[in-house]
Amino acid sequence: MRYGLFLACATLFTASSHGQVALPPDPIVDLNAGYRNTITVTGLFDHNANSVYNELPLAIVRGAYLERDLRARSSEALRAKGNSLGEVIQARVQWTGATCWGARANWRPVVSIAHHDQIGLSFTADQFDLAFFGNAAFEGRTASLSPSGYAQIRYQTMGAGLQHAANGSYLRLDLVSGLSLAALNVDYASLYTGEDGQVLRSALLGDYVASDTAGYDLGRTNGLGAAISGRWSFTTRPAEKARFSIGVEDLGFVAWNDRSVAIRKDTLIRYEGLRVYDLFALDAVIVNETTVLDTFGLRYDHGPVTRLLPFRVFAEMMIPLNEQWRLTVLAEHRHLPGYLPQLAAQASRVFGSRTMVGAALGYGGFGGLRAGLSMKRRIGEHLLISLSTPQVPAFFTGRARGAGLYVGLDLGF
Amino acid sequence: MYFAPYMQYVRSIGTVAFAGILLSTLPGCRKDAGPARWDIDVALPLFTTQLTIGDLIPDSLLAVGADGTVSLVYTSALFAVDLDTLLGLPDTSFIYAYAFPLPGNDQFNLPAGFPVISQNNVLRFDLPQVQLSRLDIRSGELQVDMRNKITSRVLGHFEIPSGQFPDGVNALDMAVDPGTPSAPAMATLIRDLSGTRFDLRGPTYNQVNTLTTNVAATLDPDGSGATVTNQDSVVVQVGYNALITAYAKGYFGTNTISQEDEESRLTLFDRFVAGSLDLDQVTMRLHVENGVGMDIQVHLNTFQAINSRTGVTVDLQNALLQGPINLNRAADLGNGFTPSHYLRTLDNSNSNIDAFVENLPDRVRYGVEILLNPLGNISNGNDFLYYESELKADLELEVPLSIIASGLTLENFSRPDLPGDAENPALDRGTLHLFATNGFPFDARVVLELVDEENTLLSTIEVDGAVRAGNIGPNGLVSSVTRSTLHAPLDAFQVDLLYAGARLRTRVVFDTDADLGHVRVLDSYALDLQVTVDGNYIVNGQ
Repeated sequence: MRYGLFLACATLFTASSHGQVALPPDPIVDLNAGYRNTITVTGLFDHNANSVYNELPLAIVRGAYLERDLRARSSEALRAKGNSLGEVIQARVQWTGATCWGARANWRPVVSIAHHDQIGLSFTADQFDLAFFGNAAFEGRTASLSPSGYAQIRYQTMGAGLQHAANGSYLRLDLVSGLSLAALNVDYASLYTGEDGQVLRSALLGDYVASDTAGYDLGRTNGLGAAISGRWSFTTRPAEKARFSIGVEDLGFVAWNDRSVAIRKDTLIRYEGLRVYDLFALDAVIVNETTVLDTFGLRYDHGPVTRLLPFRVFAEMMIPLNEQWRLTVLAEHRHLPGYLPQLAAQASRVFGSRTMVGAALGYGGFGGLRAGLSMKRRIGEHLLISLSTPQVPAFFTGRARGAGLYVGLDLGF
Repeated sequence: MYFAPYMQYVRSIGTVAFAGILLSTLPGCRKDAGPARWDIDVALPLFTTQLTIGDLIPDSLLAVGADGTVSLVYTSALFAVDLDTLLGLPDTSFIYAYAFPLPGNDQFNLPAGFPVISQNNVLRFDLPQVQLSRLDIRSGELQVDMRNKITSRVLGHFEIPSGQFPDGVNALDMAVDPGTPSAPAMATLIRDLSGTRFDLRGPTYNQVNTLTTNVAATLDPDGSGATVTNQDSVVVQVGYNALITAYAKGYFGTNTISQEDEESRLTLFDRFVAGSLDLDQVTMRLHVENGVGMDIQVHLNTFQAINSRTGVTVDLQNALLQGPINLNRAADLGNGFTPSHYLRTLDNSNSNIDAFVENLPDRVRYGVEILLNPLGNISNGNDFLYYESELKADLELEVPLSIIASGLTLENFSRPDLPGDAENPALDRGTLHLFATNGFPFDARVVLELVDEENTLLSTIEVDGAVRAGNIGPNGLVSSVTRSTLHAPLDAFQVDLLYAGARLRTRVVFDTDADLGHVRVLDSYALDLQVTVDGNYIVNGQ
């Protein structure tokens, strides 16, 4: 039973990191807890947005031509401010070993490696319209470009720790390899477009940092750091069936190397065109990226930059309703632009001795209301497969917001 | 220039480039179809510029009066007669030979130090009609070749008694090794003649073109002599090559140099491709400079302004073409010269020079006859010339810019640098806007055309509007500027032509108000221009 609880907690540990409610542990459905080694492989893709329909990012991913109607549908759904969009892509392999210490038999060693790719974006409706329809529609008026922000970080972790088999608590330290970073924070920005494009006038207060722009391939390390992840699972009374958990993931930093770039602008820009000194020699005027950067004073500073990882904090409560039914409530937050605290609730039921199915409702994060489904099924005695999605409507219509898929394999031996 | 960099700018407005951000978020999932594309409507300022009279006419051609009025001053060379035409020195060679006049197979012995050649000669340069008494060499060389068939080393000595090398000597020594009739020995000595002075009056100082030389050859006195036959000989050949005169004196003869239907390029009006120009006042000065020490008479027989574009030729009418221009000889200062000058001024009162210039010529054609020493040897052999001496004529045109312009057209070609290429054009269509603030007293119409490499018209871009002239005050000067806006829409076909390599031909047509008559142009006048674009741009189109 204890091993069963342990494995259930191991599954809970990985599943809970994907921003949706994981199916709760069940000693019958889950793998037998007696295996000395358990390999857990998980993969997660989670996209969410609070205004942009899925059809738009999907068309972008496909590399298609984006028809105006397609763009207009998302544009019409935008809020003036506070639009958000984000993604989490994550893959993890974890090994969980047998008991190490006789006196503390519940604590098991864990070693895991993971790849993370996370993006968060908050934007205004005017930003969207500028990007997808241009500034011509703003002639004679000012486009509001703030508050807004963007962060994309790609990093890999390798760490080890201990996990409590009885209650699911764990603590893990990770070494972090930073692959790439791009982060933009705009406190205030506006863009005025004059009639017939006679003038562009912008007020800008913001900063931008990025890792070495020379390359972003997976084998390239542009920074090093460390992170801590942990979970404390407890009950209010020993006999209490409701279990509470609080925790944090990837609370740490990356020190990006000295080839990183940064720029902070607090400026007003007025642009009426490049100054040409010989109208009859326009062909000889050299206008390139360098000229444009110089014209607008957009030269970067180079130097090391240290940034927090997009850590996640969460609190969870799981209440067994009876032998088959469980109710789980999750509140979480990620350190990413555009991300709002997310609240989710899931009801799950055990079918037979091998299968558990759950249905969840979530609200917050990068998006609005989502309806998800989860299931896990044990195949034989050594393999457990988990599958879930946070947004079922995404499989049926492009007008949904948010989509995702989680796949997990647990192999005990 | 034009569009491409601005489109990059559009895409790099970091805070608003949601699209780029979104694109970059899913690189791992993107398919091979390439990045997504979409069109956006942009309104951007392209460039600003200011057009002043200095941009229309180079500063080097402008003269600004104290009152700010502008005059055009243009100078062009008409013709020039230089040293080569006046005095060309031919290459000249002399051979000194000595053979032994022995009969049959006779032979005899010559002792060491025996003189085989000892000759005093005079050398005459072949200079028809020219009688030089002195010649200073700027560059050239003296080459002495010795050929020896005697079985003894032979020492040669060459001397120019009437000459002096720069180092003060006037003799050269050389030696040639023993030879045989079947295998003669050769030796060559080359002497740079730069700075050498020749007295060409000969040994009696009463001749011309004549150089005194001495040549000697002896058997090596330190040798053992030689046995010679009638096959043996010693030959010395002396050559004067590539002589360039630094200074020459004498009588240069009476000669006529004719230059008929010579043409001289005039670039002043090259930018004007159409229309007419009425000038209030025109002054042209003909300046002839004689740097040669002889009298010269110039007959200007014809002088025409040719406009190749219109095919119109205007003959200059002035007394200048009726009689000769007599040029005094330059003055010899011993180490240089002072040229003589001739200046004739033509203006509206004594010629048709205004019509001549208003023809907007790109060439002038002239016929000229130059008589050298028309009165003969009146200098008694004291004509001279220096290397720098030349006879040349220049035109100086001075035109106060008080004008009437009618359809006067400036032309310029450019090839806009558009984002993308013909296969993947990033620009679909657009409208160019031109905002003008005009301080010139001219109206200006802009004609935009797309042409191929042969200037064949492919398409005309309609331009809505014109640049209106500045407001003219009672004093005939611009009292205030005017503001005008022009719009030039480019449709998809025209944009495609640009992507296919068509050139943009821009013509600006200037007109002044005919009711005002001639209008003056001030240095302070300016036309401020701003060009913007409304365009449909394909993001990731290229």
